[in-house]
Amino acid sequence: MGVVTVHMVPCSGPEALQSTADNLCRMIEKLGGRRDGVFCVDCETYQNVSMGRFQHVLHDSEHPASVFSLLESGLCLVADANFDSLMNKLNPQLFTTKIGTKVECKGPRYQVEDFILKIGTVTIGTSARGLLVECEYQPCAVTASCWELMRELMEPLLGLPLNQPVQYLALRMREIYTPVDTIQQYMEHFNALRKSNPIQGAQAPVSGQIGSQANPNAQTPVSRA
Amino acid sequence: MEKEDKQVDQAVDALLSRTTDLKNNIQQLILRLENEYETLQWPAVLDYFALISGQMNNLLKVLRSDKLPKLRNRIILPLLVSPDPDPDLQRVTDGRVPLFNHQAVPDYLRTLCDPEIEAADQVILNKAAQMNGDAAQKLIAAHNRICQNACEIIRSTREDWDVDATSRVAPSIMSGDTIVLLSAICGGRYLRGPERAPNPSLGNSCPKPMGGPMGPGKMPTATVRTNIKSARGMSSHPYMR
Amino acid sequence: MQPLGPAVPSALNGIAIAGLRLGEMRGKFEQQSSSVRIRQTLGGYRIMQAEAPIVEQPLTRKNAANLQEYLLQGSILDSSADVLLNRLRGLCDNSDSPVELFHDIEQVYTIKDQANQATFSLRARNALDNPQLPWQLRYVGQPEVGDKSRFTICRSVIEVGTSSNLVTWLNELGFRLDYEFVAKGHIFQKGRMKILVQKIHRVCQSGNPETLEPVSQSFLIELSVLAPPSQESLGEEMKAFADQLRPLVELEKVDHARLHVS
Repeated sequence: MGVVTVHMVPCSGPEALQSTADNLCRMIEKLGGRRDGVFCVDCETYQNVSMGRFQHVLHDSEHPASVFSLLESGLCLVADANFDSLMNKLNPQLFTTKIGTKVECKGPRYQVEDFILKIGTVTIGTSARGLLVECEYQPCAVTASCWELMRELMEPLLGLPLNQPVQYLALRMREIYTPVDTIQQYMEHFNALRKSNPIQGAQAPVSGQIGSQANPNAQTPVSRA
Repeated sequence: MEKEDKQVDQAVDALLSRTTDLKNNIQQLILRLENEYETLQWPAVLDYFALISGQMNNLLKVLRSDKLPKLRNRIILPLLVSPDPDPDLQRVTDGRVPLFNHQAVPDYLRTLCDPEIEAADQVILNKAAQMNGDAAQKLIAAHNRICQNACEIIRSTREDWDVDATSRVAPSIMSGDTIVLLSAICGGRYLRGPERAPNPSLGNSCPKPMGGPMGPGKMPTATVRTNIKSARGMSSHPYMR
Repeated sequence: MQPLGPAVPSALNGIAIAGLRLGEMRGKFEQQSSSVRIRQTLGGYRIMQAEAPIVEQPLTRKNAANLQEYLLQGSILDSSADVLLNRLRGLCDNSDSPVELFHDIEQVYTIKDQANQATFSLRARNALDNPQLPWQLRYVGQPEVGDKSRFTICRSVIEVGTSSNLVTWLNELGFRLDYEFVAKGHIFQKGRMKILVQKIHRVCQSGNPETLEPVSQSFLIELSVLAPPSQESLGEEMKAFADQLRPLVELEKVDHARLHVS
């Protein structure tokens, strides 16, 4: 497990998502990246019937045998794949899901020497909301030791200066990195994207195609320092 | 007549095959007894006897079958009796019957019992004919009684042996404990509060410290401290961190 | 499979990353997933492996095979337990390696469903002798009723391995500790059958798993198999094994409805 940092790509609008994504892919391929399949991180939200508390259940294709359960307080339980069948059992007596709130981040995955780069289009329900880039530096396990390296790689891709790491990582620079940290970063981005305006009549992106109407979706800046 | 002949032939073939099997088994038993008498175990011998008895049963079954013509009505006549050894006969009988002379004929073609046995039989038959009805009934009853007694003795002895075998093993199950344990695991009974499982020998003293890193001397103080702590912070569950 | 770089904290991580490259991302969880599972649930997997069925199910996300637990239970007095252990050792697999021991604490958490006042419970199990092992969260269903001809109890079971913050997670969701017990004993395996010979202790002081008191003077014996539903030959297999343990132990289908659940 390396160190992972997840950034939102600045994008002028939903219709530009596809072209931005393609641009990024081309830049990575120019760097020498080798396409290595696809990835998917998805999140379903459950609400406790009696107490009204939320529980987010996330899956990450990088860890296919794990399921992450994130609570409102920030506590994250890492469970194995049977957790889904358990949730099926608990649902609908204890938990309900809201249809259409499933968040997915899907896209291609590239291997560039020691780095893994993933470009993911985030869709909430059926509307595309944004673009996330994940960068993993595999050999290292402590953020402080490799942040500069990752910054060097990411800045040209994103086109933004990254003066500080994302807020989540900034608090944990000297700790050993765990997969839970990746999930927490994704969750923060998903929450931010959820709060942004929903796009009316947008189609679900099928292998990157977006047929959405104009409704400029201002993307928030990347580093939330 | 031809049909009968054919039937006789078939019957003879069947008898022959059964007899050959029987002969082979007996031969094996004899060989083992002669050669391996030092290492032979009684159960092995019993196995052989069981085999032989099975073969005999098969033979008798053939003899009793309906398809058999009345063999009783047929006789075997010796056609040639000679004092010289006959190589063909030797070959056919595996060397057991070297010649067919005047002494061999009565032994092998006998249809009645030996004369001595016939005489003994006759004595018993005469005695039975002389006895009148009552004495005969009494004898029959006595005979039955003796057989019953023998059966009883055998049965009771066997039961005694069986009971001995099981009673020597201490009972390994306490009925009811399964229910107690499962109530505990599945329902939490006996695990909450002061209720204890019904067991007279298990005292009500709790806690019984099960070792651990602390020495026995320090245990009482440790438990006292924990008691106070748990009494004070009842709402905060120890595992909630 | 080699570790990737000098800064990798443990070789295990390196092995797992290489393993991850092999499988497809979503939807295909084959034999490779079991090797990934070793890493994902943090290090040693010994007890989990012993408890999981040998039969690997291909797990797709929402259609994880709903496993049924076929169960036979019985008890034996402490005095005769040694004889039983020897007999099991001879009957079961791996008789030449030392018998596997376990020392677990199991806590049952319940939540009251305010809608219809029913209680729902989950079981959290932790290995006290090996805290590195993942915690086990278990949902145990009601035994199937009605089938008198079936020799074993049949109930649906979902077992989930989790990280060690399970109790906090349960408490935050609203579950409260109902009762707990410590099970100490031996675990045997024969084919796909798992046999537990365990002494159940109550925890006299909540929070201090050292203060133990046996619940009764017997060991509890459980013979169980986790398998997909409707496997009737399994019942025969279990019955044959149970017969081999007679007359020391009578393994039978105990009617859980008869147990007095307080």
